[in-house]
Amino acid sequence: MYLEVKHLTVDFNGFLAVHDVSLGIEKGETRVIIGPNGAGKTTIIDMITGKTKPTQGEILLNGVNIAGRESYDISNTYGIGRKFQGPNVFDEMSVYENLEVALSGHTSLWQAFTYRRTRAVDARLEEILSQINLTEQRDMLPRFLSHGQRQWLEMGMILAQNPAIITLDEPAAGMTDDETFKTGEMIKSVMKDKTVIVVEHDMDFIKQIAKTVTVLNQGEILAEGTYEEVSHNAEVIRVYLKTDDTEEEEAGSV
Amino acid sequence: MKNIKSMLENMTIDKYIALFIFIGLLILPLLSSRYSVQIFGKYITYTILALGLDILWGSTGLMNLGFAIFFGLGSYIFGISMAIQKGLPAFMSFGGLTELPWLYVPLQSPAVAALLCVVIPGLVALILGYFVFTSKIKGVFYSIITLAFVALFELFITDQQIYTGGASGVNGIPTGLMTLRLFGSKISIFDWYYIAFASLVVIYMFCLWLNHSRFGKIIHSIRDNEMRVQFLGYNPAVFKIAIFTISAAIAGFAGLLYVPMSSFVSIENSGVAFSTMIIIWLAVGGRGNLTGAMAGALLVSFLQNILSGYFGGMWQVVLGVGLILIVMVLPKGLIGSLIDWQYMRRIHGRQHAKSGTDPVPPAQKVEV
Repeated sequence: MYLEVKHLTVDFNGFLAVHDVSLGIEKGETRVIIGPNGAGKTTIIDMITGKTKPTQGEILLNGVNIAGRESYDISNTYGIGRKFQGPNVFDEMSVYENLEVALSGHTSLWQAFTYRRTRAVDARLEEILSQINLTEQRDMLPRFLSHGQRQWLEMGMILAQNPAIITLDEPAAGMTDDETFKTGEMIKSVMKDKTVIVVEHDMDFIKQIAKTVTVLNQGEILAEGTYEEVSHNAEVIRVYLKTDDTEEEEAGSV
Repeated sequence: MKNIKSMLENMTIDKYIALFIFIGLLILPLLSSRYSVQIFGKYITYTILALGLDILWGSTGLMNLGFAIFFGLGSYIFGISMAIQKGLPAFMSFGGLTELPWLYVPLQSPAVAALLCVVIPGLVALILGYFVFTSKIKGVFYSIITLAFVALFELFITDQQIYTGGASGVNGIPTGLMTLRLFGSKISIFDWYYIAFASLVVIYMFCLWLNHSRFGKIIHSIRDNEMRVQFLGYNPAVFKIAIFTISAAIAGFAGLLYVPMSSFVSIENSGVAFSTMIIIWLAVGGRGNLTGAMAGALLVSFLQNILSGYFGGMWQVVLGVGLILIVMVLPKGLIGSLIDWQYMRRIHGRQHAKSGTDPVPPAQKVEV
């Protein structure tokens, strides 16, 4: 197993946000985590990327426990990148400069002073710009972009960071149907060599990208399986899908 | 020729004002008295000090309420070095000392003292920064700690009267330091003025380069969104310690240059009150574009001089009201507001130029 989460528990002053969760993710897999609000999805991402320290349990990457390490260390040494819920970019810098800051291999103090914008760097950044459909917006400030474009910019920053594992927290939130579909294709094409962990709500989007879906409820794993299996699981429909009639119909019609 | 013309057209307004300030300071000694040269020489050292705080507060978002410590360290080190050139100064012998304290022996060489003026503030900042930033003290808490540092520094200097001159400071330093020689000839106050001026231009260029380098982009990113920076693999503490150290070294150097302009060094220019003054310069001029810091330092210091002539003891009230008005009406400071105004005008100009097409606003440069 490539990334293994073992008996992970986090206790926020008596509230068990995540309780005894175990997950195994293979290299190159795209895993989607779903669940109602407060199920602990984002908290699991927080622990994998070093934002929150688990109360108990281990996070093993190739057998090395990374739980409780600093987030920059997890990003740098262990190659885990993160896209936040809601676009989280640098608003005072151009689109191109946002990608430039995210570029991997220049994160030490020494490299910050010796860095040069070489042709190879420029070619790489232009490639990413075309992958995220922002070539024409390269010199714009992110605050002039649409919400969906800002989400893509942050995905571009993760690509520039070039991690082995990519965690995406609701990448399609606030997007139009068209943008959501494009985002799905982006994940399938550009990130096909990566291990991707996605937290999402949108069932169409999940169907588009996922092979394996993990369903969380109240901090515990409720079900795990293919999209088909999970969307027909009676328990899942009861706690998660029933809250939205249209989604229940969709799930039923699969 | 065309290149120069297009360069001038593309220059942002803050660069024009910086150029204007430099030209003004360059020709000033030709038009004025020795006294004015001394006064404006002092203002130049304030301007350098303001640049030091701007890369820390303006570029990195770390508001330092005790920044005068580093200026004070520089000016005390060089001031004491000057005071001990002709034997034990009065404040030491009155205090009962019969020979120079061992700590001050290296300061007998002005060259060593000059070097220490940069090294010691840098070292102090490195150590303080290490403890503050690796323990993840942020925002207001960080600012309050810097205030505590400067209060301690003030207490320490006042308390160690035998070694520092206490509340009355280190006096008896000849203006222009007539005893010092460079290339065989004595350094006059005019020479010092131009040394300070040249230092200002070099430090301005250095800060400009710093802001445009990758390091600059990273510290701007830390200011705007520290969490995002961390998840991209940067350790923010390392960058904060680095900029804290660089800014302190600049402040220490400004402190050195202050000594020949002023005949004495005291806590008045290294304590809590003066630290607040530096904050005011940047609030008035605007932060993060370097020119704002320079303009603020010059303008407020100049007004302070004029107002104290007209209003006597009331000048602080008049200045205070003016400051409150500026901060309320122009929260980005004078230069920051000018940059915004020019930026909006350029966007509108472009909209008119190609009406019908969708205007694409260009990225505002980082120093905004």
